[in-house]
Amino acid sequence: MKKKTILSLIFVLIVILSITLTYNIYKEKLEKQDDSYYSDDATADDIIVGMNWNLLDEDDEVEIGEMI
Amino acid sequence: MRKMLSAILVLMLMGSMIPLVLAEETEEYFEINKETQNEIEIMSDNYGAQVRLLQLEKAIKKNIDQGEYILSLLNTTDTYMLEAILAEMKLLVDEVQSVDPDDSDAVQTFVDLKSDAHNLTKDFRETLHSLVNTATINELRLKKNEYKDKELDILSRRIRTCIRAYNGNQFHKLYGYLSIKDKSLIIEYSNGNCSIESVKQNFSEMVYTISSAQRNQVYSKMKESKIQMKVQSQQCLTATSADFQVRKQDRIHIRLNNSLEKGDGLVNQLMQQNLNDKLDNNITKTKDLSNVKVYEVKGGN
Repeated sequence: MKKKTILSLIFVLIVILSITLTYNIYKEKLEKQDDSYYSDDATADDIIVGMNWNLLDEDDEVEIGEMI
Repeated sequence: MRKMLSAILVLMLMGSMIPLVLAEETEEYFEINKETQNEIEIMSDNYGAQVRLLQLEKAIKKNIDQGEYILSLLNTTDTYMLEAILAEMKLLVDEVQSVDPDDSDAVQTFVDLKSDAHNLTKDFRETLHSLVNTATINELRLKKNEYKDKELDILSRRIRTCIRAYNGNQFHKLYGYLSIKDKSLIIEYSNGNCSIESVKQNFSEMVYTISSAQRNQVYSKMKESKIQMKVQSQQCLTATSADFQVRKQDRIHIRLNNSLEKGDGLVNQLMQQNLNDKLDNNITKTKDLSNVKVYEVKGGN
């Protein structure tokens, strides 16, 4: 009975670790994915969106936090 | 028995791996947050570097002004710690102003000085919170936006001019991808004679006139340029994160030397003490929240 309990605990631990690892890998892949880099044919809208990639808004600011 | 011992060993090994598995990915770059990483992308352009340095200068000056206004509202003379922090922020402004945007270390210096500005702002805020109660804090929050500094308006205009010059460079590139030779609209925009929307509209109209093959070519060049900027900024970040603490210590030393020229007043002495503490990595500020003093706000309702 004791052996069975220990083995069950080990099995559960392995399952938990596997799920956690898989989730972390999946989350990382999602963050890196960017569909705009993988389309074969660029549309006019793609280019218009891309136009704004490097432009700055005239009210753009650098934030360093509040004094209060 | 052997099987039991093996099982226990495996269990212990698994248990020791849990923190490694569950631990969040450590920041690749020390003290450099996502916001700053995005900000430095444009600094490969000369105007982009100027923009970021001017924006940092404005942010620090704005906080200094707010800090001085806050001090003027507090009905007490026991504000030397706050004044010492403001004095150090003023030294920081001088350092930002002396940075050459064309310097190869401009990105590194920007990241370093922004980090200092952020920490000093935090120090001021925490010291203020330890000196006054919540009601006073709320009153100060309401009053802080009443103050307007004309000098900041001048700086804001300089920043907008630089942003226009920077955006002008980006439009030159974009128009170049479409082989548009007439760039008079970009010049008009850079000189402040037309809006950015007019230039964007003009570019968008041109995009709809080109063939599918040309669109693919243009988009490919845009992506390549974007990736190049990202790669450059990543390289800068890698260089910046190395020896971050050593550079911080050097800056504190320089600031300490500069503060000695400011005189022997109590505020300067406190500032020097703060700088020495930072050098020794000692935090000596006491935050005795059980002994919060109530400071009246001048001109309160």
